Amino acid sequence: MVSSLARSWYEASFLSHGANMNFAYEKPTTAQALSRLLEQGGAGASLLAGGTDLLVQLRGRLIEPKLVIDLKGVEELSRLDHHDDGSVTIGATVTANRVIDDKRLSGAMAALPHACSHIAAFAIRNRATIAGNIANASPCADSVPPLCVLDAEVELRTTTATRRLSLPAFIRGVRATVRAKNEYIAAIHVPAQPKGTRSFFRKHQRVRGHDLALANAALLHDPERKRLRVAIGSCSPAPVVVVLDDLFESLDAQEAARRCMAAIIPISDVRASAEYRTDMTGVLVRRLFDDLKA
Amino acid sequence: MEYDIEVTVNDVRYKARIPASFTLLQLLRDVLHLTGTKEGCGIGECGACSVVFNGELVNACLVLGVEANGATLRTIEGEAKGEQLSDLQRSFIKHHAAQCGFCTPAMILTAGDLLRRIPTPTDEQIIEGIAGNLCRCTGYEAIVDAIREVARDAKGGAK
Ligand SMILES: Cc1cc2nc3c(=O)[nH]c(=O)nc-3n(C[C@@H](O)[C@@H](O)[C@H](O)COP(=O)(O)OP(=O)(O)OC[C@H]3O[C@@H](n4cnc5c(N)ncnc54)[C@H](O)[C@@H]3O)c2cc1C
Ligand code: FES
Ligand code: FES
Repeated sequence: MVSSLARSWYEASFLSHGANMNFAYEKPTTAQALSRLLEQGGAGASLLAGGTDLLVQLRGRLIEPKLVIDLKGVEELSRLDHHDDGSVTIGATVTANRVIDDKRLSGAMAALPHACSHIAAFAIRNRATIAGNIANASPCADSVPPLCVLDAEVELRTTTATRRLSLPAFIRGVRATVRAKNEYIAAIHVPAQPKGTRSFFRKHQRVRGHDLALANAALLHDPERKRLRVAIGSCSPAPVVVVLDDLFESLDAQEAARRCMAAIIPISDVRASAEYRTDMTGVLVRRLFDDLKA
Repeated sequence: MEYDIEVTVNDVRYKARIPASFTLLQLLRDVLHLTGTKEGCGIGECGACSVVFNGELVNACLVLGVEANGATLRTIEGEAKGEQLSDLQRSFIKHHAAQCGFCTPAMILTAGDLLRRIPTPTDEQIIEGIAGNLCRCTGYEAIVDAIREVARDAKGGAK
């Protein structure tokens, strides 16, 4: 009795491990080989970067790929480049911890490493990539609000073509993007920011290092072009960017909070009610203005 | 599909043949029978499966076994040198930082990784460092005490 119980438990856990899942694993070393594999694999292929979302999805049987293509063998995708004009390219396999450790990502782009330090806990940040965070298209993704206010672009590649899209254009909704089956994100491009630009990030969550955001938001203040904008995550199917340039002089936090709260379409779920998310969005926006004025 | 892989775990080289769907955690526990690394949740939430992978702390449940081909790993089985417990192991014992012990192997590897990166961490850095490791027993105080003492002793010279 005991042993048969033990065995059925063992078999059940084996199953949930996906042990009888049958997929092939490829780790191409060039961008061409990667594109070809993706072309051949079609809908049955899954891309693997850090695996921190993918393995959870495999285990939960949310996906059952025929082929898993590991991006980490392609050297050029691992680059984190600062260009002479001040723009930055974040390759597809650059992890959250590499962004956090990059001391040059400060000032105008400070919101990005700050947001990355709020992704999960340290060991996960050693694997989790920025590209994967975007591609997975969870409304809670912490890297997304900063990349939105920074006007970052996602570079998508196939064997023959390349295109660049802004984040709001790339992310269609909950776990939905415009990526075609044969495309992969090669890099994220963050344009140079005018002198004096600053950016900030705030996240509301229950337990740091464990919980996804109930609401997260980033603010960008660009004195040269008199631009002021806020992006809000976790409170709508896709990120919401609120342009507040007309508040550039007044820096009216109350009015900014009111507009942001009106712009989101939050849901109620296990983590929070829609009302609570709306209230917290207001709080986050006011705190972002405090950060800016501090 | 099955793949032949080679890994070095605690200075020992292993060869194995595993399905692509096996996690690194399954490779360690079910194939190599290194069962010091624990499975709590299997989905990155608890940290009980933390190991050092090519010098970096990772959750073994979120890595495929095939990804570890050619990698160098450290697990709790490599912590003591023969009968000689490590400083962290002795400090955990002294401070009663282990109760049921399920979180302990990963907690010690996580603490070791933290002290390599930040040799003299503040309490806040210790807490942040172990934030991904859940402990249902100790309430964490004893664990933080144990790590703090190892850091302090290392700073004050060998003891
Ligand atoms: C316990 C836990 C806590 C977490 N907490 C947070 C949190 O607080 N905040 C947060 O934002 N996230 C959190 N995450 C999720 C975060 O780790 C992931 O979103 C991560 O950033 C994804 O990157 P990855 O490299 O691990 O992607 P993978 O898991 O490898 O891939 C994710 C998805 O994107 C696809 N993909 C990956 N790379 C590409 C590419 N280059 N082109 C096209 N598609 C691609 C994959 O096929 C897959 O569908 C958490 C995860 C866990 C397990
Ligand atoms: S078993 Fe890997 S984090 Fe819980
Ligand atoms: S000692 Fe029991 S879980 Fe930590």
